[in-house]
Amino acid sequence: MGLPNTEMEDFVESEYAQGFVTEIESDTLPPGLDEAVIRTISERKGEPPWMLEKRLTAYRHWLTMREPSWAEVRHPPIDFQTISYYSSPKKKPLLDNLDQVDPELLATYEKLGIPIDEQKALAGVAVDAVFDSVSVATTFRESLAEAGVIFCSMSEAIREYPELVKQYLGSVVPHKDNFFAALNSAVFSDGTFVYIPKDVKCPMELSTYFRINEANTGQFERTLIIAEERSHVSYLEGCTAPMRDENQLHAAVVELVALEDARIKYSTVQNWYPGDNEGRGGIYNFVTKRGDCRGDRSHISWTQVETGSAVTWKYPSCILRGKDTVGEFYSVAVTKGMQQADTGTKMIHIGENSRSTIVSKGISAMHGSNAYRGLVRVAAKAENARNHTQCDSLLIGDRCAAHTFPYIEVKNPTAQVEHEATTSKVSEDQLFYCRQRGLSEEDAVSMIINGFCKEVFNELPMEFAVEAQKLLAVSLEGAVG
Amino acid sequence: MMLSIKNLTANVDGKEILKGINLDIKAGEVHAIMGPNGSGKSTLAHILSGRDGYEVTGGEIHYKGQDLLSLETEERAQQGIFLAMQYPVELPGVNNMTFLRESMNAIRRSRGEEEIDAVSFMKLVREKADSVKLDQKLLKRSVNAGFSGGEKKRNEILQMVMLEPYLAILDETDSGLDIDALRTVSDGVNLLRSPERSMIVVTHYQRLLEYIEPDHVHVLSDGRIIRSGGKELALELEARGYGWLLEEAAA
Amino acid sequence: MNQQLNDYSQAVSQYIENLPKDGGDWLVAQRSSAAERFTEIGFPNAKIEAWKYTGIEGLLKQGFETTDKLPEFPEHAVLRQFLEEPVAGRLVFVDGVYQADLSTCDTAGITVGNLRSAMAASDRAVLEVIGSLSGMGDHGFAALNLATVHDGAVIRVTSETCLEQPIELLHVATKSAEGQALRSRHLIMLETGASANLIERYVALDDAAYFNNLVCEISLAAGAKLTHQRVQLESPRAYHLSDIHLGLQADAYYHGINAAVGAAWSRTLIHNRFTAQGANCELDGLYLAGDGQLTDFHLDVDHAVPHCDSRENFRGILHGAGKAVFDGLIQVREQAQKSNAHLYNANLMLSRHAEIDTKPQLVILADDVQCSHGTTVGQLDPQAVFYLRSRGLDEQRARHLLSLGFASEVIDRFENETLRLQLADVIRQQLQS
Repeated sequence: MGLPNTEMEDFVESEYAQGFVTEIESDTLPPGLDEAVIRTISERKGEPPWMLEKRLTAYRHWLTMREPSWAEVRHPPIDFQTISYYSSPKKKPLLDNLDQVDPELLATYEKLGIPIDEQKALAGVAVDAVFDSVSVATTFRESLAEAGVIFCSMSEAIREYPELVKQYLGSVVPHKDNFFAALNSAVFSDGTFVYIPKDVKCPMELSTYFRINEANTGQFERTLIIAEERSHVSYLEGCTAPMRDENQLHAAVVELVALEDARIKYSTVQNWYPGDNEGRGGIYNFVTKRGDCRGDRSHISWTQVETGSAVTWKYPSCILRGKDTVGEFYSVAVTKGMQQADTGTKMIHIGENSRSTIVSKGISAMHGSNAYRGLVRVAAKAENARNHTQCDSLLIGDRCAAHTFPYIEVKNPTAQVEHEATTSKVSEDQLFYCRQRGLSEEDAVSMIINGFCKEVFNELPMEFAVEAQKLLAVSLEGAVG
Repeated sequence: MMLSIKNLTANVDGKEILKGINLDIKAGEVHAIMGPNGSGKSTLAHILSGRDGYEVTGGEIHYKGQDLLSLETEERAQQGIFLAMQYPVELPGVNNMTFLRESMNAIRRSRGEEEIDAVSFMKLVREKADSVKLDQKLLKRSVNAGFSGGEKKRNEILQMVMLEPYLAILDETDSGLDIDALRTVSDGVNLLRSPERSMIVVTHYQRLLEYIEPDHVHVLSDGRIIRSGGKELALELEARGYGWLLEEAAA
Repeated sequence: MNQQLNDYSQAVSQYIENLPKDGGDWLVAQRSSAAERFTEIGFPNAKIEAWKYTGIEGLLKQGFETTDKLPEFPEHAVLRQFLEEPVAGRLVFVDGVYQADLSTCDTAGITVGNLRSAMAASDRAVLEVIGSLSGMGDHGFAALNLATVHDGAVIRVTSETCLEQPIELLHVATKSAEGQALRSRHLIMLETGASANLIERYVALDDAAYFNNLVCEISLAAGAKLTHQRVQLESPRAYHLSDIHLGLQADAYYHGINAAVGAAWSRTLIHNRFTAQGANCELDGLYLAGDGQLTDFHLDVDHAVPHCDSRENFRGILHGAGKAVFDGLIQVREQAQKSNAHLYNANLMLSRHAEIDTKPQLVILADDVQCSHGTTVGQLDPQAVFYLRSRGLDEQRARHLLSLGFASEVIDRFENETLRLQLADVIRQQLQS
C-alpha cells in the first residue's frame, strides 16, 4: 500500500502544502465575547428569537465553567477575549451555479483539491463547502431534495426547518456538556445540517470541507445529522487550513441522531495546520462529537484520520441507547513536531445486546505526544453488551510519547469487554526484511506504517482512504530515519 | 566470479563469531554451508545481505567484482542478492501482493527497467504461487501474518522466484518443514538454477541437500571453514555426524 | 469534612506530643513532617484520579481511633494460624502489636525485629531508611501512617545469604481490635545478592471492625531476589489499606504474589520505580469481592532507567454485590530504552449486582520498548458450564469449579502449598455463601 515514489517526492519538503492565505475581503467582528456579541451573531444570521435564547443560555452557563485540564496536552492559556467570533465573506454570492462564486474562492478550492468542480460532482459527491463561517456554495441539492434528503447549512436549517432544529439541536450534546461545547452552543457560526427521512438511503456520500482563513478567527462549527428510521447516510468531513503564526481555536460540536434501524457513518480526515517544528502556530482543535443510537438496531460509526492541529482534544462517542445497537470508532492519529493529541472515544452501553468496536492507532514522531483516552461503560441494564478495543501505538524516535488511558466500567454480569493495547516502534526485523527485498528505508517505513493503520483506512470511503494515505506519508515526511 | 570472500572476520555484540572465512563462488554454482549450531552460518548469511548489528572487523567481500560491504541492504537486494530467512518476518497490514510488487518494482527501477504493469504482475504471481504450491488466498493476506511455518517458507521461495536473484542465500530454509513442503521448496529452488545464478544453502542437516544437489559443501565450525568438499561430504556428515570433523580440526 | 480533618490533625499532634520523650529517637521529626503533609493534602476524594472509583466515606464514618491499647487474646488461637512448614524466621503482630514471645528467628544471615524496638534503640540504620521509598505519603492515609506509626516489622537479609525456608510475617486481628485504627510500617531490606521468600498474611480471629493502615518499604540491593507472597484475609468488617513501595537496585528481582480476599474495604498500592538497570519486577494478584466488599488494586510500575522488565497479571472475581477497582499504570520514562513491560487484568463477573472499574494505563516516553496491556471483563463460558453439568455436576458446583479454575492461574503462583490450599478453600467458601 506504499505510495508511488513520484507522489512521495512531490511531498518531500513541501512544508505544509495547504499553507496559503486567500486574499478575500471579510466582514469580521472585533475580538471579544459578551452577550452583545452573541446578539450580533444571531442578528447577522437572521435567527429567530428562540435560537438567540438558546445561545444566551449556553453563554451564561459557559461563564460558570472552567477550561478542562485533565487531558494530556499542554498549551498556553487561551484568552477567549482575543478571539473574533464571527467572520463571513463580504460579497455573498448567489448560489445558482458555480460561475457566480468568487473566482478567488474557487481558485482556493482548486489549489486545495477540494472536489467542488463538476468532475467530483460526477463522482457522486455533493459538497457543502464552508469558507470560514458561512456556506458559500452547495451543489447537488436538487437531486438530494428529490430523495427527500435535507443537506444545508445550519443557518439555513434554523430558518427553514426550525421544528427539526428545535427538536434535535443540543439533544445529544447539551450546552452543559463541557466547556467547549458550551462555548460552541453560544457562538457557533455555521455548520452542516443533514436530515435523512425514513427508509431513504442517501444516494451519495455527503461531504463538507472546513477551512479556517481569517487570522484570529475562532471557528465554531455545529453539525447535526438526523437519520430517521431505516435510513442510511455516509458523511465525509475533511479539513485543511492555511499557515498562520498565531494559534487558532477550533471548537466544533457534532451531533448524530440515529433512529430505529438507521445507519450513520461519519468519516473525518483532519489536516489543519499543526504549527512548525518548534511548536509555533497551529490549530487548537477541541471538538465534541457524539452520536446517539436512539433507536433499536441503529448503527453509528466514526472513522477519523487526525494528522493536523497543534493540539487535538477529541472523543467521538456513541450512546448505545437502543437494543442491538452498534457503535464503532476507528482512529489514526499522527503527532510529530510538537503536536499533541488526546483523543479516543466513549462507548456508553445502555441498550441490550449493544456492541461496540474501538480500533485506535497512534503514531508519535519527533516530539509528538499521542494519548488514547477511552471509556467503555456498561450500564446495569445493558444485557449482553460487547466491546472489543484495540489500541496500538507506534513510536518513531526517542523523544516522542504515547499514552493509553482506557476506563472500563461494567455493572452488568453478562457483559464481555476486552481491551488490548501495545506500544512499540517499527521493528528492525521488519525494516531489514523490506530492505532485503529491495525497498528503500523510507518506502519500507511508509509501507509498514500504512500496514499498521490499515484496519482504520479500510473503514474510510475509497477516495478518502487514498487521501488519508497521502496525508500520512506527508505528515511523517522527515520524521523518519 | 559471483562472490569472493577473503579472510572475513566479524563480531556480534563484541564477540568474535567469524574468524577468517574464505569462500569463492562462481556463477552457476550451488554451495552448501553446513555446521553445528552456533558455528556462524546465519551470521555469514546476514552479513552478506547487510544486516545491522553485525560488525565486520576484517577481510573483504566482492560481489560481481564490486565491494559488497560498501552497499546498503536494499542496494544489495537491487543488485540481485536475496536472503530467504530462517524466520520470515510478519508485516501486519501490508498486503502480500502489494509488497511483492513494490519490491519487484524497486529492483526493476534500480536497473533502469520499466515497472511491471498490474495485469502482467497478477498473472505472474498467480503462476509462480502455483509453482511453489502457495495457496492463492495467502497472496491477499498480510505478509507472513498468521502464516504457518511451512507457508512462510513457501512465501519466501515465491518471493525468490519472482525476484530472480543472482545470488540466493537460503538460511535454514528446511527447518520446520515436513517432507512435502521440503520437496516443494526444493523444486522452487531447482527451477531457479541456471548458469548465471549462484546459491548458498545454509543448513544443519543433509536432508535438504538430497533435493538441492550442491556443487560444493563447506563445513563451518567456530567461525572457520574447517572442511570443503563435494556433495559426498554431506553424506559423510550425515553418516558420521560432526564430531569427527571437529576433533580433526581441533587436533 | 473540614471539621473532620481538623479533628484528625489535632489527634495526630496530640499523639506525637504524647510519645515518650526519653526513649530515644521516636521518629519525631519525620512524624511531624508527615502530620504537616496530612494537614496539607487531607483525605483523598473522588476528584483525585487515583481515588475516582474508591470511596472512603464508609471508612471515615466508622471513626476508627488510634490508641496504643494492648490486645487480649488466647494464645493457642494465634498459634493455630502459623504456617505448618518450618520457617527461617517468624514475626507475629496481634492487633498491630508486636509479640516477641511468639516471634522467632535463629537463622544465620537474617535479622528480624520490630520497628518499635528500633525506634527505642535509636537504630539509625533503620530509622534513616523509613520513608526513603515511600516519602511522606502520596495520600492522607499514608501520611497519617507515618505520623502515628505504632510498630512494624524490620527484616534484613545480609549479603549473599540465600534462605531456603520462608520468613513468615503474620498479622492477626482479634476482637479487641474493634474500633481501632492500626498503623504498621514494615521495612524489608535484602543486601547484595541475598535471596529470600517472605510470606505476609493478614488474618482475623473474629469479625471485628478495624482499620489496618499499612505502609511497607522493600529495598533490594544489587542482585537480590525476593519472592513475596501476600495474603489479605482480614475480618469481613475490616478496612485494609496497604501501600507497598519497592526499590530495586541493579539486577534485583522481585516477585510479588498477592491475594486480597477478606475485608469489607481494601486497597493495595504497589509502587515500583526502577532506578537501576537489569532489574525485574513481576506482580501477580488475585482479588475476590462479594456482598458488601470493595477491593482495589493500584499498580504503579515506573521504568525510569533502561533495560528493566516488568510483568503484571491480576485476576478478579466479582460475586454478590461485590465491587472491584483495578488501576495498572506502566510508565516508561525518557531514556528508559529496552524496557519490557506487560500487564494483564482479567475480571470474572458472576452476579448481577457486581461492578468492576478497571483502568490499565500506558505512559510511554521512550521508543525502543515493548509494552502492552490488556484487560477483559467477562463471564464463565456457558459451554464449559454445560460440559461439567453433562458430567453430573450441578450448575452451582460447575460454576464454582470453573471460577476456581479462573483463579488458579494466580493461586498456582503461590509457592507455598498451604497457602494455595487455604486460598482455594476460602474462595470456594466465599462463592458458596
